[in-house]
Amino acid sequence: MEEALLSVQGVCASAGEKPILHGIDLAIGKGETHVLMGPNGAGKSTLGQVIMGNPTYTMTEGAIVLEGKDISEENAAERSRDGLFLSFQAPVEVPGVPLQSFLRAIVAQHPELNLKGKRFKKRIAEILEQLNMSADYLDRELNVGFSGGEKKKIEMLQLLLLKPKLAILDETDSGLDVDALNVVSKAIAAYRAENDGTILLITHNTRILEHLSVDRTHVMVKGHLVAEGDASLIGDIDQHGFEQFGVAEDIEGNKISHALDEDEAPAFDAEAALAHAEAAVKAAEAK
Amino acid sequence: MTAATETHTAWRPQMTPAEVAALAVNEGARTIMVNRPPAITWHKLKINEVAASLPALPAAARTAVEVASGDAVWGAEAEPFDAALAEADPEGHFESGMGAEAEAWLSAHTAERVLVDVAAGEEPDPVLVHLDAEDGAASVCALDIIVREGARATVYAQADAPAGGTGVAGFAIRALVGEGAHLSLVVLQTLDDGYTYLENTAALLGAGAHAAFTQTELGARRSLVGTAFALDGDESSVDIDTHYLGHGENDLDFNYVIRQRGRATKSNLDANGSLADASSKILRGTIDFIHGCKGAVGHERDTVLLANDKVRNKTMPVLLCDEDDVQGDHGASIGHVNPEQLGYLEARGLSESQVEALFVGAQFDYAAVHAFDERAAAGVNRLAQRVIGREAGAQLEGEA
Amino acid sequence: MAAEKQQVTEVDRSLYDFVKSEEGYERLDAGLTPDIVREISAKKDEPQWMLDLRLKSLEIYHSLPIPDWGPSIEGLDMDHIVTYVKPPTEQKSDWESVPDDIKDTFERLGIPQAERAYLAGVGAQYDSELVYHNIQESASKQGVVYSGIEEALHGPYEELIHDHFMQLITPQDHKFAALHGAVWSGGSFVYVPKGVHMEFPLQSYFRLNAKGAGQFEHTLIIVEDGADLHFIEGCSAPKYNVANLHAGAVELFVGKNAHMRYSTIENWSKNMYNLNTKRAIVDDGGTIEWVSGSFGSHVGYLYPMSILNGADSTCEFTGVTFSGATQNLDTGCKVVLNAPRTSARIDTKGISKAGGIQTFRSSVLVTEKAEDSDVYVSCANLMLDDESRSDTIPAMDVRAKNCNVGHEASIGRIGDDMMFYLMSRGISEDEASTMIVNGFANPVSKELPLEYAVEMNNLIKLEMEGMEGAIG
Repeated sequence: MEEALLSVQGVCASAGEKPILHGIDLAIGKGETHVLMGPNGAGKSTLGQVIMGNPTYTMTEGAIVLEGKDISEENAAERSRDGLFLSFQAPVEVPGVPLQSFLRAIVAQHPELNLKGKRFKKRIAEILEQLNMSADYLDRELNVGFSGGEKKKIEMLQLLLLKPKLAILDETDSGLDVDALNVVSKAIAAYRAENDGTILLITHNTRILEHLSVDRTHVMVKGHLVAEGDASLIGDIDQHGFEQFGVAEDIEGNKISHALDEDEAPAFDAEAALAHAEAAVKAAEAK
Repeated sequence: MTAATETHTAWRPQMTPAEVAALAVNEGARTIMVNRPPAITWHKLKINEVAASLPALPAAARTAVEVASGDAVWGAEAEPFDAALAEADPEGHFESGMGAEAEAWLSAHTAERVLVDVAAGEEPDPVLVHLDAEDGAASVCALDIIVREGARATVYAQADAPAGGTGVAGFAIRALVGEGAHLSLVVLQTLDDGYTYLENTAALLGAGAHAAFTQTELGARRSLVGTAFALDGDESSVDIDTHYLGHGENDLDFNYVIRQRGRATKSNLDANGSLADASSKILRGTIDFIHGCKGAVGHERDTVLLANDKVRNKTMPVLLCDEDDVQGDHGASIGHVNPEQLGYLEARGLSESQVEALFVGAQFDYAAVHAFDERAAAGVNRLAQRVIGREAGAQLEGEA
Repeated sequence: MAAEKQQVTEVDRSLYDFVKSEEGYERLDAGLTPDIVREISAKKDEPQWMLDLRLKSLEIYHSLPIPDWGPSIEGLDMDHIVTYVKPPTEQKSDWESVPDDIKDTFERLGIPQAERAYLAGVGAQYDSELVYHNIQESASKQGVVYSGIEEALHGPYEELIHDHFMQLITPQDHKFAALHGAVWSGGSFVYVPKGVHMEFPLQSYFRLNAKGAGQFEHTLIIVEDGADLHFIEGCSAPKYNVANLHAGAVELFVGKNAHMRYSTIENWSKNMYNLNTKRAIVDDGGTIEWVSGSFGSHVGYLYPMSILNGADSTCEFTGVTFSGATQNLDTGCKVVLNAPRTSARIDTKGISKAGGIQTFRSSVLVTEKAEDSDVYVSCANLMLDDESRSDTIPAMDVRAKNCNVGHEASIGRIGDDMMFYLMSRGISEDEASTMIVNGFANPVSKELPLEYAVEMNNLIKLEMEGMEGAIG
């Protein structure tokens, strides 16, 4: 098999004393689109943060390899310069720093983009037009007072500006209005078309996937990858939720009740669900 | 211009140990300086400390102090607490809010000492202590509280003067809250205008200990209240909830010192009060993040309603920070009934002065609702009758 | 009463201490005696009232205690401060005729270029004397006066100066105000007549070059009713191993419905004791705005004061203080609301790093006259490491009923999430923290003219890199 662009090898990670990820293996080939699904709290976002090198999490075991190079010891800035990008679920507000200055600063860290002076302005103008965004954003403080949708648009702007080798898009579709969702879809399409972009999309929602051809789907439950399949797995989850993986939750994160008739509805049995989940996890570990 | 013409205020360096020791003898009138905060500021503001001129008074009879219920030693020695303190505080972090001069004066005028000593893991019934000030005397109750490892204690204390009169009343409170222990301490002051009140608290918390301290200061011509909490143990925490009311020409003076030494310690100081008539108040609140208190959090807030042109309020909320991994904030909000509230209440038919009366009365109502026994309720009501002309907790119609 | 007595003994003791140190006067020829003060006054050919004021100030100086509530000034030995250093030149209004070494200094600081670019007038003080003053013709035609204050004392404005000089900051105010009154030298006089709006700012630049010297310039600005002025002040000094002292005074008189902005970027070297006093009094409907960036000095005591003496007058204070290695900067402001419907907004940021100590200190006084007034103070402090220190010591004294006083302060470090976000886009750790700190100080830099904002951002960058900020 051809060497993967990104390979996550047996990664265990914890936040403080608390283990979150347990032996994650994941390989993404160049130009592929992978989707990582799972119920709330499964550790999906943590995996994205660990791949990007967030020091809040300690990687206790395993390795992260990008284009054959072990980047596990690199900090986030170095990983970015290697070509990784993480679109944040909740982009952080940085008061007093205008978006424009920030974009100039990040472009300066990626000299291969060759976007100095006029070329920078031109490229920004292009992206704004492509995403149908107003130039007014440029003078505003980075993410400060932006709506959730606006923040996501700014993330997409950076995605197209930086042209990373691999983009991890974390819950990029959650809580978006139609306009913002359009921008996100456009940006993802442009990234793929223009740069043969490679994507790891983290979500528990399938709405955005309707417009996206997916190569592989991974399912995470309680810090373990419990299933992997092609795009058809998404449809499966869409219909049945994560229940088949031992979690009584639909894809919106609501608790599933088995009964249709309310009179017969048994109360949600947390213990049984937990036992079920643990069994699934054990089975996965056995694999 | 105003500042330029003011003269420098009274300011005295701290006493030497020998001078303080001389105070610990009940010999005549004394002027003591109390409530000095850890960090001082311009002397012209007259906020750095306060002088208390205390007349020559005999100590009250021991019976001024009464343990109304609960398991406590009336007539205790200082020794059990001193011994527990020596063990819990080898580095001498224990300090009181009012300072050494007040400690010495209070000790020279103690009528009786009460000891609450809760054994490890125990959770006994609440202890109720009443201090009924004696006319023409200094009525001081020393209250030692030891809550040993994992225990839970609740102590209620009230300073009252049902017989009226004049004098000085006070609590000298020392508390040790052991590892994982919990102390709930409630102090209520309902003295008449003839009294000066001194409330001096010193507390030290072990790892994972929690203290909840509720103070309500409703009366006395002068209330001098100093409160210090040493959060020495990791993850120890304190919540201080203070309610105060100034009326007549009463004068309130608070000093809070919270030293956060342990990691992930938490403090929260919430003071809430109304100043009516020609009353005045000073509140100093210091949160001191000491080097090493990683992960500590501290909040402080003073919310004051000024209900008369003649009142005077000074607030000095201080954050001292020698550690980067902390979150501290403080706020003060001083002023009139806010326009929104005022508009709402006026729309319900109240005049502005009625709204102010409502807020002043609310301090009594709050105290009445939280009174821990009948004597506490009686004290609140007696003052309420005198100040707002009605029983506390009564409906508004009664007053209009 | 007992405490008052104590106060008297304290004063006595400080007098004693002083007398003891007086022994050295003859030898050192650098301390403070009435003779030195007379000599300064004689050299300047001053009116008698000024000499009287100097002598009275000296007396008061000796009687007042050194502040015991702020950073230590033990390193400052008054006997070794050369109080008066006169460079070998007279004041010029023609840049070419300024001596080369001094000209070179100011050119390196970008002063004449800035004047050409966008300033309506420039003053430059080198050590104790003003070496250069110039004002654009358009401004002087409108009756605007911008000159050396000593020069103005000998002209038609003597009366006006007499009526205002050290009336706002009196020698009794504190020890260093008294010192200033005794030995002040140089500084600017600005007079903006009624209704005149200055389109461009006036600028004054202070450079303390002499080793172990003191700078005691006096800035007196009168903005008459309905007029508008922006005044910019910059300060710097090279670094020596001995202490330098800056004890200037700034007195601002803002007339009815007048508007004044006073901007300062202070970058004294790290051996400077900056004990500066600034004060504004504002008449009905007037506005004073302070924009203040404090970066330099070893020890700083700086609290610009605004006295809102007229109804509906307002004050805005925007400040940032950056305290790095070896620095102990005690800064903040004072506000007095002394008339109905006055309002004050105070927004400050403090940054401490590499063992630096930063204190925000403020006082807000709302007098009985200030019905329907409001004050809001917001103060945020950033700790960049665990060796540094940051204290917040505000005090509020409120005596009016229908007013609202709000105060919010916070302290903390740069959020991990913020650092990670910036780093995930390729920005290095150092650059990310510089960017965040610059952003934190942005409320100040955005109020400054571009050239100054750039200078301030560079100063922050230098501080973040741990380099000496001083030029020279």
